[in-house]
Amino acid sequence: MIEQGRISNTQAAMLAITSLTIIGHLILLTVVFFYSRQDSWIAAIVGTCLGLIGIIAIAKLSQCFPGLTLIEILFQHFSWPGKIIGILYLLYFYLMVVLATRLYVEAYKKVMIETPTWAFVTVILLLTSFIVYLGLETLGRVNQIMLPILIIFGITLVFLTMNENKDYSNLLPILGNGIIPVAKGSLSIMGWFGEFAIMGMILPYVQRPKKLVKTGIFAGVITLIIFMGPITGPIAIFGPVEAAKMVFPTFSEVRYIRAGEVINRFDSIAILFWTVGSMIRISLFFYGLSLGIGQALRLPSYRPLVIPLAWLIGVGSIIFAKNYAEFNEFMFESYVPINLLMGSAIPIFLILIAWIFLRNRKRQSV
Amino acid sequence: MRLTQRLMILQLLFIPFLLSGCWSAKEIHDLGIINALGIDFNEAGEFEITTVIVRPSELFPESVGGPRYGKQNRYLIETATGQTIFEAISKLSKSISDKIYFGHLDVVVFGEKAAREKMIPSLDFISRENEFRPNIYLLVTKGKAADVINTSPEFNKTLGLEFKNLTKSSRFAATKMVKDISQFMNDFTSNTKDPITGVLMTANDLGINAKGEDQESQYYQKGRPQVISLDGTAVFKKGNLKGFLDEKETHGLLWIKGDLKNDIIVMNLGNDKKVSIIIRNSKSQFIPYITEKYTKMTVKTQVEADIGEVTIPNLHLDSNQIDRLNRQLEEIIIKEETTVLNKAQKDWQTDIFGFGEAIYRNQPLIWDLMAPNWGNGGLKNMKVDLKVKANISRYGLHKDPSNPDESR
Repeated sequence: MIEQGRISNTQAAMLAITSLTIIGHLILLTVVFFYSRQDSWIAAIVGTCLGLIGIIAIAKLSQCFPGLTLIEILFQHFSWPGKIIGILYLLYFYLMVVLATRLYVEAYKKVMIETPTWAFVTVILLLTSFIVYLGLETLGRVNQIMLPILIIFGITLVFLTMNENKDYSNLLPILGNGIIPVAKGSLSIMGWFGEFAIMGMILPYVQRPKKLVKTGIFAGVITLIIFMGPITGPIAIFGPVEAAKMVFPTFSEVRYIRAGEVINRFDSIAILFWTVGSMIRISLFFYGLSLGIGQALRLPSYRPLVIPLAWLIGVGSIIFAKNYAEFNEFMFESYVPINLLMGSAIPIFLILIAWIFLRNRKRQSV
Repeated sequence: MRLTQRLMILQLLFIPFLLSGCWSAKEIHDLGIINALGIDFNEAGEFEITTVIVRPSELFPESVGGPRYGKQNRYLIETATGQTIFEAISKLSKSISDKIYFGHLDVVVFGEKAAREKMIPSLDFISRENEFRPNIYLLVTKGKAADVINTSPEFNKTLGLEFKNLTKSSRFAATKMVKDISQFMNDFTSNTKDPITGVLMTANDLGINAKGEDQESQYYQKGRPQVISLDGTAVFKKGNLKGFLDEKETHGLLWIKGDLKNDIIVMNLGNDKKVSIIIRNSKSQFIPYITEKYTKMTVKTQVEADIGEVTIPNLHLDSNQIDRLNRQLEEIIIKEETTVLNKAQKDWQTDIFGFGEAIYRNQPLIWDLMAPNWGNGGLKNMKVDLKVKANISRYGLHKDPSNPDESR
């Protein structure tokens, strides 16, 4: 076994929460607003319920093969189709970490225009390489410290923007455009929860594997609750049409804060907290990627892989998209299908096969 | 072990490279902070941008004894023209040796011609630029924006703050028609309402006179201080300016929207008998009623007011009298509401009240059918039923007005 560390169930849930919330804030909001307008919050609730299917599938899969990561399960128990799917998963992890790195850069580029892209990429990859090198326990602990601070900041933000210009009646009428926009929005939310697939690499190392399903559902529901603020706030302030056109709706919301003469211009703090969130997210996927490759190649340790992979990620994130429009198109057209496939469809398929397979084996042994 | 420790020390040597500061550092003394922006559209078909550029080093001098080398202007007012706003600003930038910074822009003022013809292209620049904030006030002036920008701040450090505080801290004037850029964009993009915003004027045009103590001061080149004032509402239709509402009509609009606060209403009770009322709060509710033949909108307004001044010698303020005053106030409100409805709903056919929004929220599917004809006929043919409930709740620190020779 490559990874020796153990993290608690809560830490695992928290990792999933931070990782999902940060991309939800930065980019998924625009997608959901675009499809569902003022009914986005309904789409979020429905999407979470759908997304829980994938989460439960991943957790059950991990329980069926205790102590094995997703990649190990695929490479050891599913013969050659498993190996192909395993490689697909590794590519998927690579894609997600590249996406997160690029997203981090794009967020910074909105405020620090003169700084070149590679500078941001270097900074974040040095930081995350260090975290990944130190292993899972460090990552879990860092996140356990940072997430409560992020949440407190988020709640403060809701109260600070709660001035007379925040008009929650903008959320009316409920289901005014019929059910189809909500369905589209909830599909993208479901795809978003597909990112939980990365937890397949983490869940074998939790302390109480029996409570994994509970942990997964807990993570999903908390993510939804955290996501309710950003999904209603920009619509209440800017109206549904304008919010859908914004590049970073929550960033605009933070810039709107003006409480008294002193408490305004929160942009830099928002960027700071995004940095922390992105750092956790990139580290998590980076860790999953390097551990997965290490296990696929049956190496004694994943650590020699960290620096070469950091190079690959850095280069990948720079050539990932030529411009922001291309990046945005990826989010609208490819992100959701890829995540639906990797996060829901394949895990459900795998768990069904595993159940049939295990039952047959039990019958044979009896 | 020794070797790794030595390598660690070698690594530490690289840390000072990180101390050189960040890439995009902007020192405040290198910034030319644009504080107010006026947008005009001139006869030649070009945008004309007038800006107030604050110089932080002069406004907040570092040394206690004031600036050391001579006295410089605290801000510059510059004008430039261009095919687009962005081009005009780039021309402006050529004449400024500092870096132009928009982060502290407080207000954008549109000249009448620019608002009538070029509102939509102008809005794009404002919502796209990274440094603009979503809570910049957006105002319109009759005539040229340059005239308003050329005034000088009297109560605040900068002109932008003066505009901003004018809308924020006004005690006896309604300011709810002033919108910031995000509220304006919200109304602008929705097909259920049309945007409005406040009108800014130089106060001398409104008959308010201001006189400074120190007339020789560098800002008052025209001989007397020019102060600014809010005056009425600018009404938009399909994104471009349609017309202006005067003070009474603005009242009517704000009654209907339930936004009127802190404004004075003078009730004229026959020859020289006047009661001035200050409006503390107002609320309104739209109840749409739709059949195949006609649409009806019931507007319920609730008003809370105080008595501010009484010039009727023998007025006895008991509950009956207050009731009578309430009825009279209601009449005035309905009259003002009708005036603005005649103008905006019947003449201009612009939905600044948000009637469409009320229908959409009530019956979204029916609204989809009504929306295409809303601007040409639908709104005009809608019946509006006005219901007002006024309540004068207090009369200050004094009950009946005092008269000469009153004591027994």
